[in-house]
Amino acid sequence: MSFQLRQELPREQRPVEEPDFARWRDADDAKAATFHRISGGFLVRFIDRADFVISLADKVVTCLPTPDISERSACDLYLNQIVPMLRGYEGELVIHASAVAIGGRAAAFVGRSGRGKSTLAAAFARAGMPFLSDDGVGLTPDEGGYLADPNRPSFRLWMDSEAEVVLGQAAPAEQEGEKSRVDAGETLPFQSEPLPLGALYFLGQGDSAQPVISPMPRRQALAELLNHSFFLDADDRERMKLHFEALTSLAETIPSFTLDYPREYDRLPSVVRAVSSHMSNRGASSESVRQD
Amino acid sequence: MNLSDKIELSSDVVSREVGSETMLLNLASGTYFGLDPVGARFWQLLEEGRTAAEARDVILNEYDVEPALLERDLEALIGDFVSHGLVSVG
Repeated sequence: MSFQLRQELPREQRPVEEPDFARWRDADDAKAATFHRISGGFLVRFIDRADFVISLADKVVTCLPTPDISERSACDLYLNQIVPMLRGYEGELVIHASAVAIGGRAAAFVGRSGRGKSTLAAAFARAGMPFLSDDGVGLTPDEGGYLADPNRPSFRLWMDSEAEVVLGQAAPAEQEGEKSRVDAGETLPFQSEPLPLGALYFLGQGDSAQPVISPMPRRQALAELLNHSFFLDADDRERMKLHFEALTSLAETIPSFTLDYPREYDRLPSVVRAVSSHMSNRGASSESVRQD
Repeated sequence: MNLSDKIELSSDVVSREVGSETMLLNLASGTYFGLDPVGARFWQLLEEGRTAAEARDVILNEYDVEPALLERDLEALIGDFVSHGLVSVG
């Protein structure tokens, strides 16, 4: 990616004159980010956390953090959210997913923020299956399929996920502060080379009492990918058209499934087993798997 | 509206086949609309310049469907197209 980051001193977020043209919402459906067109580029506001001013002509991103956010968290926002958007702007395909290596192929877990992508990928890594990314998966067309590209060798996890999944300890009674950054290592192996993408798993809401994997129709997969891919400017019709075509090819080429499971830490090993088995057995007569 | 009305497809719409179905993307609004195989065939016929009534007749020849039911479904589909900005009806 050709953009450079410039960091400014913390300041409170000021009202933005230009109206937003897009909004992101978190798992609780609260507004988490807004997108504004400004002279020369865009302003992306992560509410109460940081503003990013994107200047297209000189390819500079200026970060204006609020006083309440740590420098590390502002950096994480830039790397996990702004960089994938800009990669998309420059023609790459990046989906909002985590990814792990299973049997020489990548499995991508797609879902909105708070759905459990990072925690699930950490569970796989803890079980010995290296992770490629905890948030944001770049996909490169390759020989009739796609290569999933490794991202940063670290996770961003809430304290309870770090405690339960990584450290094998009981979660703290109360959640405090920001997510922790947990680096790859012996406990959490990292896949540093691209792998062929084997499947897309779209995470359900946690309504299922046990891990359930079901085939997803391609049209539905495309609709989900439109909602879970990084795309900066919906008014840029030529880029939008190319993005749509790229996602259509992805939905046509890579098998997609819904994956739902109870969001309980002690059930994660069964999810890991179910998905591992599913990836290994793909090509068997039945694509629907229910795992106890 | 009815099937004899003139339908004009928006130039802002991109369509792509996905499996046996079709996805329409409205580039102006950024919204998308999915079509099952019959709806996809209807859209394809409109893209070829057929009127809605002509498209209905083609589909009746190709699918085993009750004419009155098909007409009702196609009229409802056109209504959806209009509300999503995919077509205009003259």
